[in-house]
Formats: sequence, structure tokens, C-alpha cells
Amino acid sequence: PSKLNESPSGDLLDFMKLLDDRKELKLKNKGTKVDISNSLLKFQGMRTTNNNLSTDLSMSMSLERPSAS
Amino acid sequence: KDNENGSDAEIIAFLESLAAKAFVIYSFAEVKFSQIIPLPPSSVGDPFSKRSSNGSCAIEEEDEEPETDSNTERIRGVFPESESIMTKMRKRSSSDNITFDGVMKDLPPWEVQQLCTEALVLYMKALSILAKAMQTTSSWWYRSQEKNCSLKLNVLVQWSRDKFNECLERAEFLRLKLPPMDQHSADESTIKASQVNDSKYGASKRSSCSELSEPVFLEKLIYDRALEISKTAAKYEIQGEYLNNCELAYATSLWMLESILDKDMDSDNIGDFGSWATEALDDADKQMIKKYIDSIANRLRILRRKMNHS
Repeated sequence: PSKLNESPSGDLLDFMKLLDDRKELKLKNKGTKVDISNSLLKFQGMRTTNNNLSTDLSMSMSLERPSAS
Repeated sequence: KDNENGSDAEIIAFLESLAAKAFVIYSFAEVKFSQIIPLPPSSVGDPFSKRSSNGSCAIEEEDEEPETDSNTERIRGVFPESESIMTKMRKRSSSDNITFDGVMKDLPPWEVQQLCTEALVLYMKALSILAKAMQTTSSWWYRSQEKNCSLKLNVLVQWSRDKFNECLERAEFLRLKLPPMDQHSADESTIKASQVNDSKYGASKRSSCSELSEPVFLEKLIYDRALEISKTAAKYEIQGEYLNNCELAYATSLWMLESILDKDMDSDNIGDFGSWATEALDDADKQMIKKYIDSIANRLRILRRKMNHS
């Protein structure tokens, strides 16, 4: 059902073919340890610094605004 | 102070690309998540009418959707980002977690474990991207106090923080849903590695749950999904339908594929969340992903040209 109002090269069909012919990733497993608990701990530990940064940025904005009005 | 704007623009561009990557991965995680846990009712109204009107498609997203009268249904089912926007609008809050146990879907345990693991690694990936956004901004900001914070930068950082917290809540919740990992694996929570080893060497010492589960590879999840999205978009594009959604879909695929090539944290010496990507890909894999990135990017360019001329 291809409308061939496509560009001259017909590349949409090529594109579809490329996607149809896709190969699986090989995914060698280098034995990388994925330590979810440890990563979660680190992410949890970031919450405070994230909040501090957000606050600092917001503060610096509000400090600059008043002079404008 | 205005001459600081140069560096401001640079960090904004960087944050925007991280935000886009985090968002597409987060959206994918949400789709997986909603396959385990039905979407909780929105603040008012009947949950079931809500779900059937706009939430149910996430569940069927992998299936061949039969032709329906409702085009919007089809589109939402096909393109995860429209789904996630709906999801965002429903504003699920952390307190929803409390009700989750009562409404777990009736799936076989191995499937729940599979979906939990997939959602978890996706949230972890999103977290690592957002962590990078926050930490990069932080070191930029505190390097010198003489900086302006533009509204745009502020909005980006607030968004990243909020999304970070949301992903973290989800990840914490899912982590608790996977108790067997803790108990049976000495090297706790090496989900990917251990499951892959099990399947590869066929010597599973693990529970029957994980024997049945497919090994979970973040990279494979994202790669398969990204190509699927582009494929679906191409089908619509060839019919000349929903071109705006096609554009969004190609862009989504691109961000997804680029996110798996990124070397999260480790090269920046910011922290070692780096194991969330790249390690499992060999050079041939990377080349193949790049090839798809190039052709999808090319496709997106052509589509945009077409849309501008029509």
C-alpha cells in the first residue's frame, strides 16, 4: 500500500527494510556487576544535594527579579 | 552578568539533551510499570472508566492492535510518549504506592518478576541520566558564584529533580518487589549479570522464577523498543498518516538509542553509576546502533522536510 509520493530514491521502503532486517544485539556479558542496592543508595544520597541545588538556583533567580520591577 | 550567558546556553543545551533521554527512558519504564500495576484512580472519578478511556493501551502496547474506529486509541497505544503524557497528567503521586499491593495485576509470578526487573533497570537508567544532569549543573553552578540562573535553566533543574525523585520512588518500590534476588544471590542484586549467567550456562541454581524469566538487558530492552517505535512510525508514514506522531516517534527512537551509547557517569569522574550502560555492548553492537541512529535521523530529516512543504 505504498504511495510513492516519497522522495525519488524511495528511501522510506529502504528504511522499513532496514528495520525489518534488524539483527539482535550480541551483548557480550563482560560480567559487569550491576549492584542495584548500591546504586539506589547513591541515588538516595543525592536527594539532599539535589534539593539544595534547586533551592540555590531558585533563590538566585528571585534575588535578581525585584530590581526589574 | 549578561556575558555569562554563553556558558549558560551551553549547560542548558546539555541539560536539555539529558532531559530528553531521561524522559524517553522514564516513559518506557512507566509503560512496563503499568503492566504490573494498574494505574491508580485519578483524584476523582471511577478508576475503571478512566483506564478504559485512556490508560489501557499501555497494557496492550506490544500487541497487534486491531483496527478500531478510534484513531486516538490506536495512536496512544502505538506511541508511548503520548501514553506517558497522559500518565503525567494523571499525576500519580508517591502515596499511590501504598495501594499498589492491593491492586497488583493477576499475572504469573515469573512474569511479574520479569516486568519488575525490566521496569527497575529502566528507572535506574533514567536515574543515572538525571543524576548526571544534576551533578553537572551542580559543579557548573558552584564553580563560580558569578552566574545567572535563567528561568529556563531553573525549570530544567526543577524538572530533573522532580523526575529524579519520582524514578527513585518507583525504583525503591520495585526493588522491594524482587525479594528473591536478595535471598538467593550472595552477590545481591546483580540482576542482569546473574540472570544472564544462568541462562547462558544452563546451570540455574536459582528459583524457578528466574529460570523462566528472560535475562534482562537494559540495552536490549531499549534497542528493541526504539526500533519497534520507528518501525511502527514508518508504517504510518508510508500511509501518510499521523505525521506529527511519526516525527515524535522517530525523535523518541533517536533519544533512546543515543542513551544506550552514552557512557553515563564513569568518564566524568562524577560517580560510578556507569554500569548502567555500554558495558554489555561490543563494538559491532555499537556500530549497528550507530547505523540505526544515522538512518532514523535521516528519516526524521526527510519527514520534517516533507511536513514543511505540505
